[in-house]
Amino acid sequence: MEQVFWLSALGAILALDAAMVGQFMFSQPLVVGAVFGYLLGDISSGLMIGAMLQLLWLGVLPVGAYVPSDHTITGGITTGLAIMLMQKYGMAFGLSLVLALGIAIPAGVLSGKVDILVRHLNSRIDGWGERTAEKYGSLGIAGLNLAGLVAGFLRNFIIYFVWLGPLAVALGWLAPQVPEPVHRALGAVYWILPMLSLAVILEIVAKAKAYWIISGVFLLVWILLFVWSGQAWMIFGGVLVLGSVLMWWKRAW
Amino acid sequence: MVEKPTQRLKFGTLLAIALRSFFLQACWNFRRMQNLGFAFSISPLIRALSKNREQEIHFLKRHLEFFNTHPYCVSIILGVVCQVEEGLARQNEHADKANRLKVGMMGPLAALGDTVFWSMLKPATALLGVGIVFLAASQIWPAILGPIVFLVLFSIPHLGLQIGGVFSGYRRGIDIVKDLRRFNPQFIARRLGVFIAVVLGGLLGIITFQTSTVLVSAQLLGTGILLAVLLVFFFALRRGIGVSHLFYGTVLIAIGLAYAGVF
Repeated sequence: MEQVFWLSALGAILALDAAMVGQFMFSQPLVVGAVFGYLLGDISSGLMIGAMLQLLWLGVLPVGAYVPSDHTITGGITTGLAIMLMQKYGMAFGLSLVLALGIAIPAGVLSGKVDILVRHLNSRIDGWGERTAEKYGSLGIAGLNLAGLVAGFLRNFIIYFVWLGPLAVALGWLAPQVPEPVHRALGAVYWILPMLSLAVILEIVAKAKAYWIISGVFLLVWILLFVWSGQAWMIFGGVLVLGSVLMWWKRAW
Repeated sequence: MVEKPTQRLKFGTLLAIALRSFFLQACWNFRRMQNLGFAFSISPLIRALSKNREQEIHFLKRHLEFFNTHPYCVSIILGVVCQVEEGLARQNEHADKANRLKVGMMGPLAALGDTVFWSMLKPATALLGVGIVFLAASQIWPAILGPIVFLVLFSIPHLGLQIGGVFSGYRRGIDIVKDLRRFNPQFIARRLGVFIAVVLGGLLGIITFQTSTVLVSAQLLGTGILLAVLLVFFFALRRGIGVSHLFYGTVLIAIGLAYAGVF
């Protein structure tokens, strides 16, 4: 439980970066996955889980007063749960990732709903703004901002703790009872998950010229890999160079 | 129009304002949105310009009005407000010019930030980071470069704007609006869109090539199945079906196929 406490505290601090402090991208699944993986002694799995989840919700933009589900929390909880399932119950990587993600998505949705409540609470705090400014000056305003941060931290911490603590124990008990065909099905979903991630990006750049570029580069890369299957890094490097050059070619956009 | 005054604010004051701007949304609320964060960010200026406590309170209360913009682009507004408020303080004026400027600038800057940072720069840098991790597979050393590349490439324009924006805004004052008018966010967005399309095509080729044989033994058929799945997801997303629903739907279909003996 001590490990869960500290993971939840760190996860809650990193999740503040999603909207409340800085937005340095420390809260993104790719980064949280690496940090949680390192802390749980399996950085390689943490990185892969983070990469799988990073692109999934990129199309959801926090514009204006719209509060989306907090998928940075989904990413952190998925990484923590999946590594725990692998370490404690010896489950396969793909299976634990899909199971953990299935359990973690409601945490992100709940976090978004609680976020709305926290913002309403912040409206009450804002109501004290003028009076606080009169009484305590700039220091008082700093205190009100700190109160907002504390509320945000507590929201993140409680959700992390519930999901990585009691729910992880329940999942560990439940997972071995899952029938074999379901195991096989979840394992297959793992291999399909990157297609969902790439579909999200495809939707972001969706327009006629982009389809031509994507199809052309896809065919080129696939054929090159067919000929030199061991040269994936070099081919990816070539893709980056091509992308950087095409960016400046007016006809491409 | 406020005359451009001699600038006397210290480097430390402007840096403190830039660093405080990272907390702009600490107490984001539905009533006046980022107002508390803005008042907190501008506090070093208030302390530098106020001659007595009454002035400080008056100043602070003026900046508690409604405010909402992109959290990175706020730096430009903060810089402009610093210059305008400094000029007003020197003329011993307490008019609400700064607030009118804030209201005028926050909308266009929010649109600029959303277009450049959220819609294009974040997907482009994230795709690059994810690509590195996918390629490295289970090797920690190159894989760790994924999050590092993502953070560094995203942070250079982010930190450059959020810290440099305060100084530029202060130096140029409201003239910066003319510079911003010349700046076309769609110009950057279109270029980044091409870069994303190329990297996406490349990653799609690499991932389908490497994972196609896991599902079926024939590589070409496996690639075809993965591409068909991608297109189904894409059209579902275009129809407004959320990622979470697609994930749970895929799990249910996979369970059905597993019970039917497909895999």
